[in-house]
Amino acid sequence: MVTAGIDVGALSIKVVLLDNREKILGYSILPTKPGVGELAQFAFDQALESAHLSKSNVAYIVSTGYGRRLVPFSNSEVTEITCHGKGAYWLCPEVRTIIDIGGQDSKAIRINSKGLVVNFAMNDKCAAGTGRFLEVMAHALGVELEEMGKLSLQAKKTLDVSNTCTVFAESEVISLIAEGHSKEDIIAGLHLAIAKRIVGLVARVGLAERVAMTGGVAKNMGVVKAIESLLGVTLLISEEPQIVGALGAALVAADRCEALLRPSQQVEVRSL
Amino acid sequence: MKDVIGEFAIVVQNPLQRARRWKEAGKGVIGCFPMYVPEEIIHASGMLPITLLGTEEPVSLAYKHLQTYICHLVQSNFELSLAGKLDFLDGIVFPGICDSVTCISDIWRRHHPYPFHHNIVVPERMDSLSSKHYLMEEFTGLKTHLEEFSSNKISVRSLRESIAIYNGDRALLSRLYQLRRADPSLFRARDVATIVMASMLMPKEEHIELLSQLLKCAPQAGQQANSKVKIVVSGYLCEGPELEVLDLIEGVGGVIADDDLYVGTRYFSTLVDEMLPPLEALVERYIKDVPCPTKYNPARDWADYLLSIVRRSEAKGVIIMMMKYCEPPGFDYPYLKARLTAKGIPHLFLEIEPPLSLERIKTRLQAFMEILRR
Amino acid sequence: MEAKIRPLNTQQGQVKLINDYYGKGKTARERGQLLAWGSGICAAELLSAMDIYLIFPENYAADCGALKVSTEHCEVAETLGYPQDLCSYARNQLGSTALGEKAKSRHGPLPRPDLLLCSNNQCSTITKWFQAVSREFNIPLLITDVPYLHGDIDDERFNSVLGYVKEQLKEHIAFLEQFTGRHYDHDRLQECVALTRKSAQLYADGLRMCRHIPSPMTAFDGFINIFGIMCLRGSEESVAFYEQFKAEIAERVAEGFAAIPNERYRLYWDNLPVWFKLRDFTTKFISHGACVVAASYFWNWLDFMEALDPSQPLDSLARGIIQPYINHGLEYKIEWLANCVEEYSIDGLVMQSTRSCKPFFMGQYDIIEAVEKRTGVPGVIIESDMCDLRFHSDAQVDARLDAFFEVLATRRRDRSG
Repeated sequence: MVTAGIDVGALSIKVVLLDNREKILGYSILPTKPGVGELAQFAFDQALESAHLSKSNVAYIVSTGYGRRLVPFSNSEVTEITCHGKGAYWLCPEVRTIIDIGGQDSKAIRINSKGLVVNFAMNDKCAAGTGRFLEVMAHALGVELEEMGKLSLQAKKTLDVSNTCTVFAESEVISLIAEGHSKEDIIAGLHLAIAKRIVGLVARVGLAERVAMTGGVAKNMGVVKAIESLLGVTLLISEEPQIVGALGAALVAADRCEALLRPSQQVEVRSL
Repeated sequence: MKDVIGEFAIVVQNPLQRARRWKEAGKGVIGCFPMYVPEEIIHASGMLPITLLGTEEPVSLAYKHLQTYICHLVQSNFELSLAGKLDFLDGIVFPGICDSVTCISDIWRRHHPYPFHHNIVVPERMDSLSSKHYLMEEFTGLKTHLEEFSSNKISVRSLRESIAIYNGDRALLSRLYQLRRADPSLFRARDVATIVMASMLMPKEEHIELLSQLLKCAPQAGQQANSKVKIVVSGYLCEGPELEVLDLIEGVGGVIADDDLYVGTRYFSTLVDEMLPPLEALVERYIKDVPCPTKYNPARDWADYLLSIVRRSEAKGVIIMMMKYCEPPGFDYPYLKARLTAKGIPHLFLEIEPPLSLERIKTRLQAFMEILRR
Repeated sequence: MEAKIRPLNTQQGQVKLINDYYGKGKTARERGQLLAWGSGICAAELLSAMDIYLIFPENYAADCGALKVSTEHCEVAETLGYPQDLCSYARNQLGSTALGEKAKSRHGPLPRPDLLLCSNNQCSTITKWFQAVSREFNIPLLITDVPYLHGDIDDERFNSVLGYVKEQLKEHIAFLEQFTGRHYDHDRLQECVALTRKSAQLYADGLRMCRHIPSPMTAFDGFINIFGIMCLRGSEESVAFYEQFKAEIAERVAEGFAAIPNERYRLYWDNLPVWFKLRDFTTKFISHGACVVAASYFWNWLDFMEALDPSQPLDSLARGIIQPYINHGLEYKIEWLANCVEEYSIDGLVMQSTRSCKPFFMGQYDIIEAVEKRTGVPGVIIESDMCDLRFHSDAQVDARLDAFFEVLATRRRDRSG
């Protein structure tokens, strides 16, 4: 049975196609634009294409993420908290804590030995501690967002930068530049700032190993190292950390589809 | 029943309307800051007490006098005043339940004085004879001031009558909640909140009449919808819960079986003892009332109380909603959390800061439901 | 211009006092001495008279703030579930206690108390804070509930308040007798009250010398040297320290010593000190030739302590703890500040809006407006906190202060024509 998960985030849409809960057949990642419903369809089609499948092969679709209700063709929707929990656990059953830093929010999720969410904490009110924080700072420093990780690893020291508020931090960065500090050192400071915010969220749900990191910011080696040093753990990061939510949604889809197919019920799988 | 609920909804949608009509009929209206003002005393003076629950309108005038890091209730009530929307009031009573209400009183008086401005400087501790005596003096002070202002002596008899009326309303609200506990699907959560809120905004006599009607035609407890998850909501001190949030809880598959809200059980669950002399009885009620983070009484533990509500209503989880910048319950939250966790009762903590972002709240509520439904 | 202030010589003696104080606190239990935590302006002399060792978590927080370790303690408190909007003094203690031996303070964690004495004459928050502590340690909490004095209070109501507070002090004494198993020593209470008053008078005399133009010291010196007043209640050591304090300041006045050379502006500081930025603010003020000559902060202790009367210890303690500046309403504060402006020849008001402290920050806009109207002196609001660095932005504070000094300069130019 093939199922699909669609994660509609504020910055990107991710689709994962999963076969029998065992194998990822294909996936797609596209930047979000207005007209999410259509874009989700397009992303879905792209994923299908990459897996050489058609719509009719897919038994059940679950949507998740910030825009989960904007996908008209999904069968049901589930929060990204549940989905990240499921996705990370599937990737590694030893995971007990998940750190997700996305474009517009960050979360810490605790799961139990069965991969079920037991606690969560979110920061979705303010940019500090999210991908947006890094975007603003990259702009202030005149560097590409993708370079930030590499640059920070060249830092000679880590500066102390505020992490309470993106506006505070931005004005601090400007002062630091004026004072002649190197970009590398400043970026290292910013990464530490964002890491401290995350560590606060993790402390609220309680840290338990292994710890996984998901979301786009997991591709930033500098942030990863900063979090690792503060928590004293090695983070588990999958090859494509952005798709973990969609993967989890596809797993939920498999559960829900199975529930519908219980022997006592005669239900036709809806073909799309 | 829908029509009666509609009547309550009209009152709540225009919270000051009913009071304005009362005023136009030549009677006095006194605005009460939450919480726990002994309204019966005001009622006995012939004036209408209403509770000032703030507004959802954006705050702007108030920022000339107030920093932003103050609770929404204080900001928005002051906003209403500066915008002239409370001009029809004869006066305001400020119960000093916390630093914010205590401090806004003087600022308010400077910029928008009313003919009647009264501070009840309530004791913070409920555990000694001396605080009981002092509270008696404060309530007596309120009575005296009202008598002077209204030129109406508040006799023992009139106070007893007012107490009886207020108790009558409390009893009806308790009955409503009893019905809901037995079958939470009988009423929408927003309707129950509307009914309680209306009581704070209209003459008790009218509220009693409407509520009696409603209870007469309320359906019998039916088959409880099993798929819904029973929830207890706690918190939202001083303000009414946003009805949209209650809708959201139901929208994600929850049903509110009971509450620990100010616009809820805190307002009515303790009766005034009609066997005691009236002022003394009001003092007793204040002291023995539902445990509150603004009142120190080691014999009345908030966590015990909350757990008993959960037990009684057989709820599966608790949603704790605390207003941002509200300090008293913030100090108790870790304790509540520990006690709920020890009893294996899942809870969700929501920080409430109007204007609300319903999307963010919905995500959390949904995730919580996903945990409860396993 | 030297970018430094010459600290008082007396201050050096304080270092030992503080270290000994926290050191002795750690060993109280071993000595068989009971230990209590007190709120800043509670009637702590009641406990001193029973030879109960007194620790003030607010002073500990100031110390942690000065060392810049308080924010970390606050973060720990938040992971326990305490919201960041709560008083940062409280979060500092709650977090540091949770860290135990890993607390970042140079004094280690606060010693575990046997009981708590708290008064809400400074705010309601402190009673919630101490409640949380009493729950955590499972120890008795004595609350002296002091009703707030709004401007509309008349004699009858004042007497009602006084009666209530006195009753409670008697309740505390009865409790202490039962708790300690000892008879209450009223003579000792008289002594403690006399000593506290003496310290307070000396300290106040010193602070009042800042009325002198130029000022011999700054209010920040006052903040730094407040330890004895805060923590060494009813003690000889405190008296000795403030005797030196007053003498040194008097000497400075006699010499015509100016704390800020070429003192150009005399400022008032409202609200609590920003403990982690005292040096930075000092540098900033020096750069503009400004001397902070007055602050409302001290008078919370001094209004209470100077009013003490050893011949009526209980009565004057009750009166005293009702008096602090912070227990009064807006009109009182406006009146107070208008008088202060005159007494201390103040040119400008720096109103620090402490995120953590509502009784102090609510009404500041009105205070500035009213006092400026009455005295012609302008004010500026800067936002910060006593203990939580995250609420402070150097850029914001700098910008506001620079703009404020431009206003002061313009006004001065205009005045001199």
